[in-house]
Amino acid sequence: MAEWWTPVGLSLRVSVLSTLLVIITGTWAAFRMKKKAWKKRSWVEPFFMLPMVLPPTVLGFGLVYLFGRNGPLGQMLGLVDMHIYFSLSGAVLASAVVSFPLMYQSAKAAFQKVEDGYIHAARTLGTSEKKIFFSVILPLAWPGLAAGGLLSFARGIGEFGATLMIAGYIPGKTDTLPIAIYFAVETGEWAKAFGWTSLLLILGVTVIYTLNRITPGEGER
Amino acid sequence: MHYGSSTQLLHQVKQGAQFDVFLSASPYDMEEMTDGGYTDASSVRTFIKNDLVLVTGDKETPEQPEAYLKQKGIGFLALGELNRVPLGVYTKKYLDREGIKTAAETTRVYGKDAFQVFRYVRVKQADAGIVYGSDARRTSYPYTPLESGSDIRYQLGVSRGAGVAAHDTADWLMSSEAMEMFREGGFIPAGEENVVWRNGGRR
Repeated sequence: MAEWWTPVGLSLRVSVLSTLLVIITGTWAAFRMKKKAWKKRSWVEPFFMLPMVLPPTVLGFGLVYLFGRNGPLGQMLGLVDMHIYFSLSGAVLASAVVSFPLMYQSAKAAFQKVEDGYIHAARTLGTSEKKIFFSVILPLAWPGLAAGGLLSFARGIGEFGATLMIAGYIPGKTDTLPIAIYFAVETGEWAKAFGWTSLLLILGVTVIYTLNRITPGEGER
Repeated sequence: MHYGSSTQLLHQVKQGAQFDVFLSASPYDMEEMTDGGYTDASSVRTFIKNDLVLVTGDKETPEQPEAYLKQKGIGFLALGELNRVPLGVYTKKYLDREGIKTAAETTRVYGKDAFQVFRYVRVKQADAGIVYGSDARRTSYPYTPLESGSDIRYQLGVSRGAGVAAHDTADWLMSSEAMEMFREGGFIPAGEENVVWRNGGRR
């Protein structure tokens, strides 16, 4: 039974870490882009959104190319005796890459909803930009940011293709839920696969339910 | 022409898919096809063979693969998943037969198919791997043959009640013309001894 929980624990670790990574980078990127002129934004944004439209195998190939043993970043990490390939950090990276667009998009929408009036008002009162961000913008934008975080978590926990390419299938070390499910189905261990699938199903429903609660549509509150 | 894993194709035939000649990478699937009355038992023959080889990404591959696999300094060893992926099933048989237990320091990474295992080694993500000889030969990749891992047979069988054309196709697949084609793909013609090639084609 303990063995059954290993992929669950690994998946939670991977998704929590990748979600934290993505909340910070996605929010930061969306906030920075908000200030940029439309023309510049329209050039940079497609690159931010790319992981959403590319097949996971392309992302996996990209990660292997960059972070593999001979990749430029892989070699740099090798100098300090670290490696992303065939490790749980590879899985975190893959999950973060695929969920970044969701966080970015949500954060962008959340910041757009914050009326400039509040920011201008705070500014005329002599508030520092840092304080404006943390005590004016963030509190107003939080439902959108939380929604982005939840979506990223749900997307990250489901990452399979790129994860298998960079992190591999090492039982007990890199077999996150989707990978464990794939191999359980392949080897005919349906009972195991069924349990894990049910767990992901419950998680998915919970995430979407919570999303609807924190970001109600018109007239739903 | 319709491609898929032998097991997938077997399922499709069971669901009613039509076929004339069935080429199988797994003797078990062919047996099931014959037992199920889908292929004509008298038409079933081995047409090509394959073997397991050790690849390390180095030009000079280990002379003693068994000793190499047992030692401590490997790092990541790529294998086919041992229970279901055909490459892995053959690998497991080989490791069991030779009584090879990899060192605790060796991390085994399992691939979902033979391509993935070979790719892990080719991009140097893994330090070594056990792959099909055909994959190494086709790409002129240096390898050491695993001598007791050489009994891999691919069989063909003609659909029961198929016409003359199907039998002609099956016969052509056994012809020297077809064998030349399979050899280019890295396979060993059924009538030949397994050649002990080392390091990408040199004897």
